[in-house]
Amino acid sequence: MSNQNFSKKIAQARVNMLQAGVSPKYVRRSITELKAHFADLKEKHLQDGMNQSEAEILAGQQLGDLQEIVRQTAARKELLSFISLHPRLTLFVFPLLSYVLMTLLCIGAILVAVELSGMNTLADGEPLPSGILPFFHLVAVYLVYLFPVLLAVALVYLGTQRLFRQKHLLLSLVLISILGSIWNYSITGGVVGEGSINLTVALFGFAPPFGFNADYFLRAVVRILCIFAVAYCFWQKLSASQAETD
Amino acid sequence: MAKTNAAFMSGVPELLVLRLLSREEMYGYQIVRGIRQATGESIILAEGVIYPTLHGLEKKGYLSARSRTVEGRSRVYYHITAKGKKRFAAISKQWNKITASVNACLEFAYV
Repeated sequence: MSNQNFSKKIAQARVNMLQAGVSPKYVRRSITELKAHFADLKEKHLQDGMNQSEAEILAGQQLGDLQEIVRQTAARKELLSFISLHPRLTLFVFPLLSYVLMTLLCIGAILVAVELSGMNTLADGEPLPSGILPFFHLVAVYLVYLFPVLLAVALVYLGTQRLFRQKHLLLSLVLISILGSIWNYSITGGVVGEGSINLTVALFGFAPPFGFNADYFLRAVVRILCIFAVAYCFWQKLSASQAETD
Repeated sequence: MAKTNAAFMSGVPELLVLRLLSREEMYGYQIVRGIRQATGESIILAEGVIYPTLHGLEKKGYLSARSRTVEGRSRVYYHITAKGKKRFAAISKQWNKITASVNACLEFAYV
C-alpha cells in the first residue's frame, strides 16, 4: 500500500466510521493513531534497509484491513455516539421537546415582564408600559423567530459531522421549520407608556378558534423558507469545507 | 508470519493490553510491539485492531489516555486506571481458571 493509497483508504475509513455511527471523538482518535502507527511501521522498515515502496506495502499489511478496523470499532456499542444510538430521539423528539421548552421560556418571559410592569392580569390588548417593550422584543425575537433557525443550523451541523442519512435530515428540517413557523408574535408600542403584545399559535395561517389569517400564513411561509435557506446554505458550506479537508 | 486465529482470541487482547499497561504507559505501536515480544511472537494481531480495543477499554474507564507530541508525531499514551487494575485481576483469575480446566481436559487419560 503506497502512501497515497493509504491516505485514500484512511479517508474512506473515516467516512465509514462516521456513517456507522462511531462517535466523532473516537473517529478522530482512530485516524490519528492509525496514521502514526503506519508512519512508525514504515520508519522501522526503512531503518531495516527496505526501500520506500516495500516499506509502505509491508506497513500497510501489518496494520491490517482498515475496513476490518471500522467493523470492529462500530461493533463496540460504547464507541457509538448517543445520536447514532438514538437517531429518532435526536432528529424528531429533541426538536419537539426544544419547542416545548421554547414555549415555556416565552410564557415565562411574558409573566416576568407582566410582573415587572406591575400589571395584575394579562388580558388580550392589555396596555403595556413602554419601559419593558425592549425586553419583550429581545425575548420574543430571539425565541420565536431566531430559535427555529438556530435549531435547524445545529441539526445540519450534527448531521454533517455524523453523516446522517440525507432523507432523515431533510425530514427533521421539515419538522423543525413547520413547528418553527407556528408561533406568531406581534407587539405594538402605541402611545408613550402603552402597548400590547400578541402571541398566537397558527399552523399555515389557521389559528384556532379565529380561523384563517392571511398575515400569519405569509409569516409562516416566509419563516419556513428562511429556515430552509439558512440551513441549506450552512449545509453547503460545511460539506464544501469537509470535502476540502478530505 | 501467520496471524493468530481470531476465534481463539476473544477477550485475549483486553487481557494482554491491561497486563502491559499495568507496568508503564504506552502508545498503540508500543503495545503491539510489547505483545509480540512478551508472547515470543506467538500472538500476532492485525496491528490496527488494537485501537478499537484500547478505545473500548478507555470508554469503560479501565484505561485513561493523554495526547503528547513526541519528535513531531502525535501520540496517544494509555495508562491503566484503578478500575482497570481490578478488571485485570478479575479477568486474569478467570483466564487461569479456564486454562487450568482446558489443560486438565487435554491431559485427561481416556480409558
